[in-house]
Parts: sequence; structure tokens; C-alpha cells
Amino acid sequence: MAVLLGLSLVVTSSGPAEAHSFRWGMPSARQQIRPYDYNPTWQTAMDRALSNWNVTPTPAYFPKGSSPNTITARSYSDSWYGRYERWINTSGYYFKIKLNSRRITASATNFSNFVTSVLVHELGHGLRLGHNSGTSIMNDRRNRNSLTKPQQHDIDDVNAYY
Amino acid sequence: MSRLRSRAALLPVVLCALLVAACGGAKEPVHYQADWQVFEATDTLFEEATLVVEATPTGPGVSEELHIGGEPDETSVYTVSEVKITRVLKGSASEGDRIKVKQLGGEVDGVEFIEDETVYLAAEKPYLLFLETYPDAPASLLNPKQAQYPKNAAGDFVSLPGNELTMTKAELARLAPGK
Repeated sequence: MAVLLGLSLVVTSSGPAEAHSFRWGMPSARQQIRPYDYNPTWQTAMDRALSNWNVTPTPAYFPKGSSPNTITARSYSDSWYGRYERWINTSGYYFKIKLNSRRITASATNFSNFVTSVLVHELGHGLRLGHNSGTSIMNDRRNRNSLTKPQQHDIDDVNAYY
Repeated sequence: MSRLRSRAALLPVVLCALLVAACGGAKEPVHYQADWQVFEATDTLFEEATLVVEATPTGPGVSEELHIGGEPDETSVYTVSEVKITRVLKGSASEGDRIKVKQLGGEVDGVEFIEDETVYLAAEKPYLLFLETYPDAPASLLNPKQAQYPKNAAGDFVSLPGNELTMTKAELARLAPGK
């Protein structure tokens, strides 16, 4: 079944954005997120990331609810700001997103925006968006202190994929 | 029509092959994708590194499950290389020291953990490395491509594809004068 799902992802990967699509996203753009509980600074910034996708004119929708999909913010001994992982269990694909509070705190000048930018980016991987070099939340050279919302390029790509 | 019939006849065979592969064959890989800082200048890369060294991996990297923080039972799969330091340009280390460097991805219990952007260190090849060090885990490259520079036969540092930074001997002398 996993292989069949994987194949369906590959063959439906078409459209103008195919060149930078991320094959390891989720089969559906609607993904419940297991509720998380952090201090108000983190919670607000993280919730805003979900909202920033939910209000786009795309099928993307990340409500909170019972789900294997998790978002975790902790201090990790590694150099990334955020990390997306796609796993599989007997029910299908799910993701784990990790936010590295140590690296984010060290680099941010606008902490709230930085957290939101990293989480919107990681959720973008779940929506099959790969890294790119344009005006995009998926650009790894973006200013994370100010760019917090999916851009038109990202919206077009999600609509092309789902 | 006969072509359609022959394709339809093949369909059960293909489905069976896929199911066999899914149930009894290779396990589905786990995919990692990370958001790293991208450096616009060599100065920033040097400043943010806690350890800058020339070093040579003593052997091939080994897959390990590491606890790098988070929940007590939370682990990540890395390829860990032991490197022997041949020159220190910044940080607390000495020539001849051996340290461990981790890179995302590897294989544990038959499951591949894949990070598409990672370029693994090659055994017994000299490198210039820009590292972040930790008290509880092997060091990490500050960026998977911008923080490693293989040294070629002429002794020059080579930028990996996709890395727009250039690291010459003169640039390194400017960044680490007297080292």
C-alpha cells in the first residue's frame, strides 16, 4: 500500500511547479495536527503559522485534533532551525516537525516572526513544496524575521499539487 | 484492442509485485528535510562557527541513532564520521585531535533515513570544516553544503555544487590571521 501511495504521488506530480516539488509531502493538503502546549510566546507564533496556511486560497488546512502529526519545539544539538520528517505507519503517512529553539533564539531579531516563518516553511514541505530560490516561504535565503506567510508562488504550487 | 487486453492482463501481475514489495520487501524510508541558515558571506560563516578546522575522516561514516535533545526517548538518525584534525583555525581543539561530526540521515534496522541535501564526508579525504560543537552530541556542519570544502590535490578548497561562497587560501588567511 505504501508503495502504491508513493507511486500515486509521483505520477500526479505535474504542473508548472513540478521542477521544485518535494516528493515526500503528504497525500492530502488537509492534515490534522496533534495539539501542542507551549508558553504564550511560542504558542502564539506557532498557531499563527497554522493560520497563515489555513487562510490561503488553497486546499491547505491544518486544524488541531487527534492525529499522529506532531509539532515539537525544543532545544536540539544540531544546526538546523526546523526539520520536517515524513514517516509511515499502518494507517498511512504522517509527519513530525521539530523547531530548534536554541538556533532560533540565537539568530532571531524578531523572535515571533522567526518561529512562524520556520513553521510555515516546514508545513510547506508537508504540502509537497520543495526549497526554491524565488519569493517564497520555501526559499532558505528568506528573511525569517519578516517573511511569515505563504507567497503567491507557494499558493500557486499548492493549488497545482492538490 | 489486443494491446489493451494485454495491458489489462499485466495489471494483476504489477499489483501483486507492488504488494509483495510493500509487505515483504524493503521498508519505506523516512524522509528528512531541514531548514538551515544560508550564509551570504564567508565572514558570517566563520563568525558563527565554534570550530573551524582542516580535518580528514579516518573512515567511512557510521549510521547512529542519537539523542540530540527533545523528549528523553527521542532519537534522530545520523551518519557519524570520526575526523582527525590537521589544522585549527578557530575554536578549542588541537592538531591530532579526533572528533566526531554528524550529518543527517543513515540507515538503522533496515530503514533508510534520507536527507536529500546532505553530502556525506568521504573517508580519508581532507576537508575544511565549519562546525558547531555541543557538549552532549557530535559536532554539526553549520550548513550541509556551505560548511564543508574538500581540499583538492593542489591544496585548494573546492565549493560544493550549490554553494556560492568561495574559500581561497587568501580568504582563509584573512578570516584567521596568524593561524
